Amino acid sequence: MDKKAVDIREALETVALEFSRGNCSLDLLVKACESYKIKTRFDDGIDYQIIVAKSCYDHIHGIPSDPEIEKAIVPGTTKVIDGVMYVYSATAPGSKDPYGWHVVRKVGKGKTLDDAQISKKQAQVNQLFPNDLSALKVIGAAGGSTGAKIVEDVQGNRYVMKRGDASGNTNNGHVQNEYLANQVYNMLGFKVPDFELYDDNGTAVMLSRFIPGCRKPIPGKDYKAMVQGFIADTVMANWDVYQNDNCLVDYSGNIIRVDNGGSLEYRAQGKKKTYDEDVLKSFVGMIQYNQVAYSNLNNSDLLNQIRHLRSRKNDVVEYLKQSGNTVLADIIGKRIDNLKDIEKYLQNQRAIKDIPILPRKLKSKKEMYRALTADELKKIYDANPGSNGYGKLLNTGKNGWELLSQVCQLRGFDARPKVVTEDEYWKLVAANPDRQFYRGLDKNYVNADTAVKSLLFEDDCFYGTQAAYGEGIYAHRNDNSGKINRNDRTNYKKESSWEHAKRYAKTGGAIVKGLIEDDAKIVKFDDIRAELQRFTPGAKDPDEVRKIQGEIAKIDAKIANIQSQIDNFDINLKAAVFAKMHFDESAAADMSQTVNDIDWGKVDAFGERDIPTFNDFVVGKMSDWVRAQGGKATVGKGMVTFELPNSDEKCVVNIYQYNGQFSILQKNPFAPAYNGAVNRFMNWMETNHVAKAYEAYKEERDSKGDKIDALNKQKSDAQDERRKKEVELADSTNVGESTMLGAIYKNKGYRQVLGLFAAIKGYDAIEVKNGNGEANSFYVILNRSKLIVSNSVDYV
Amino acid sequence: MSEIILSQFAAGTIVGYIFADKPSQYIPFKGNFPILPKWRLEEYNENLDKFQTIPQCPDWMQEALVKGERVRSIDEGFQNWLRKHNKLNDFKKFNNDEKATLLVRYLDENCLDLSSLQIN
Repeated sequence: MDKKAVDIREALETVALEFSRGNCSLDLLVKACESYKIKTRFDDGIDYQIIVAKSCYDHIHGIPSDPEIEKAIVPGTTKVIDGVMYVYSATAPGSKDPYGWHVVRKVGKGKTLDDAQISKKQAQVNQLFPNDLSALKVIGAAGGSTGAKIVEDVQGNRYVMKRGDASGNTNNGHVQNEYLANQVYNMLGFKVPDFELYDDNGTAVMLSRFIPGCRKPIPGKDYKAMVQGFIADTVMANWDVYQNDNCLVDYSGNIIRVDNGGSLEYRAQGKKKTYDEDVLKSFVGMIQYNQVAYSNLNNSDLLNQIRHLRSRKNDVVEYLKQSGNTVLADIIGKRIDNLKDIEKYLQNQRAIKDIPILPRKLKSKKEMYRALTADELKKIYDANPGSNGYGKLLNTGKNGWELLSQVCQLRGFDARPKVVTEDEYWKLVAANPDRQFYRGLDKNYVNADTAVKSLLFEDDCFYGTQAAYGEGIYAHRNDNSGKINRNDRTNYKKESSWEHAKRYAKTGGAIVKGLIEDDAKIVKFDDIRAELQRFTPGAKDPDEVRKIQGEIAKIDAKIANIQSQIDNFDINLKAAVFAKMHFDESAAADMSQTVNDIDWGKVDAFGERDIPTFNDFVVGKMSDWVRAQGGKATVGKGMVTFELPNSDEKCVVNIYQYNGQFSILQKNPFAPAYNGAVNRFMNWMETNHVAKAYEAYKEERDSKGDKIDALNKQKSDAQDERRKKEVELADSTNVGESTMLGAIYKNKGYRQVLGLFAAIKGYDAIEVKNGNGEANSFYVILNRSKLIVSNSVDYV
Repeated sequence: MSEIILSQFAAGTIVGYIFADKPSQYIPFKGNFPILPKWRLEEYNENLDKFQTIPQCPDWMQEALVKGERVRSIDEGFQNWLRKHNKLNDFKKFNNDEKATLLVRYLDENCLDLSSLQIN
């Protein structure tokens, strides 16, 4: 801040202090605040208001203040919540925080939450964890808002440290809660970083082993594995587990739940949340906010997960009771019992054959297919929300695509289809199977029956919210690369078109069978697309417009090529560095997987330990792993000394450490067993080899920055060139986005607009040959009144 | 197998969120927007033709879909919440103070933190 601003601020703070002492009025303080904002040109926009609202809200709910947020709020700021006015001002001398919220008008509201009691019991510290927290060196911040740090012990082992007093977004109860969550996940068989809880003079401190070489999960590669914990995450109410890097993938491809601070009774930023028996509500919420992740599951996966949770219920409940958390034990026990509600939710189905078929009211052909006037289109367009044409074109409402829905209503395209019995349907198919289709309806947004009823019986027509080939109602044509399939009711399910509809319906969904009337106007996808490309409303010179469009397409191809070079640069660099460091990523993954797959607690029929022998495992496998990483394994009498190429630290494992009386450990009596010596070996490999390889890769990448910079500059120049061409294109037409047709023209790159364009042109449907690369065609249906559908649906 | 079908997920309103300079008219999300630049649109559409499931798509498209889904679920959730409280139609007329209060309330009821608005 410059001197003038500093002086103005000091003056404001003086007024705030005097207000707190009762020496000046609220009005004077508020006025001083406003004057400060004007003179310093303070940005009082939405971002600041959000901070103010959050701070005041947290104050009302008794949440400790976040120092960073408090610094940003100007003294004298007022906030009204639920009829109570608060002002932000100086607190009484000697208070913990210099500023805070004060009620100006009381309504008796304001509750504080009790802090959780810090656990007095110190868990038995894992010998691989430091005994003395004061010997830890802080390396850096771990990220996130709870003040977590990365620390290192004298052996170079790294940990993430979370302290109950680190920031306003955590507390002792929060840290202890995360420790409990980690214990439970461990017991349920889900990976968390190795962890320990300490009591540092009344402050709860949790250390979690820092795992080098972790990355974010990639949807196609890792999500399937990640969501094998979906039901566990639901029971744990770990809502944001799949967000904000709370789940990572380690160097061997394992999913690690690294941050479970938002589980059970606490939210990610330390505030308590409702944690009750209603596990179905949690499940629905988890689906809503994690649809891509959830889509990797089918009902069978979920039911298996439920069975697994049930099998672990007694151990989890018993552990929590023994550690003094009887209330939590009770709630978790009930949540696991209530998984039956999720089972019911997954299995819900009903038939619709008995719904009466009512007569329809249709517009005449002349009305349906007349040219729509500019005024009619303008009225619809202007009434629709969206700050630009693109926003309006892609806007959805209760009937799906809003503009399309309203244009179709204007035409009478939204009228109900002709619903017939199953017998009548197959007679019509036998007479002419040409335009037969199957529409798969899934249960994800509503249940399948609701979707079926909506299509067949309701006056409001739902036009969908997905549109790969144009907005409209999608169906699978019963053809094979354009050749019509001829089926009857005994054999239609063998066709790939029906199978594809079934795939779209998914488990729990339904398939509707139908025909499009013979006289319906169907346009081919390529034809309507070409028509839209030629569509240049208001163009001074259409040929010039098309020339510029072609130039833009060429620039797009050039940018894509540069981007590909940037992407490949990184892959090749990583391979070169790892080779130099003798780091074999896949061998490291195998190593980790093998150790994880062994049941270290296994005993034979005589009660004797049943684990691999010292010779087989330490002399054999572990030595092979070290050699695969360019290291050495020297076998001595009853011991092996391991060395790695990039470190002076050796690791020695002897037979007693591997197989002695105290070699097999557990975090608690219900947690899976592990081998202490093998764990120590794995930690040594990670610290002295895996971590070093990733650090070397990072350094090399940072040093090659100029090459990447050059490519990025080329990309940036091409993007500038593209922007100039867009301006030229805009100048060559008179069309803005203030009309529907103008918006369609401006946004013709978005395939979604094809459906709206076709509906304005008066087409009943679009036919897409080999849609999605499949053998059958798609229909994109715009005129629902032209459909004939059977009232007998196939449930999946 | 109920694996998600690409065209049932990636061809709808999510497109608007992925390619928009400002993804929401209601929430000031923070991050690098647009999630994907316009020059990716043609390739995005071609991938809708070429691939049937999300895992088949290139990593850049999958990452964009995850971010787009995040923005969409929060934005559409907020709009539904406003609609339920009869505040959707008037929202744009509110001042920043009122908008912020509503947003913080919605986030709180759905156990979302301010950090949820940061799209990384």
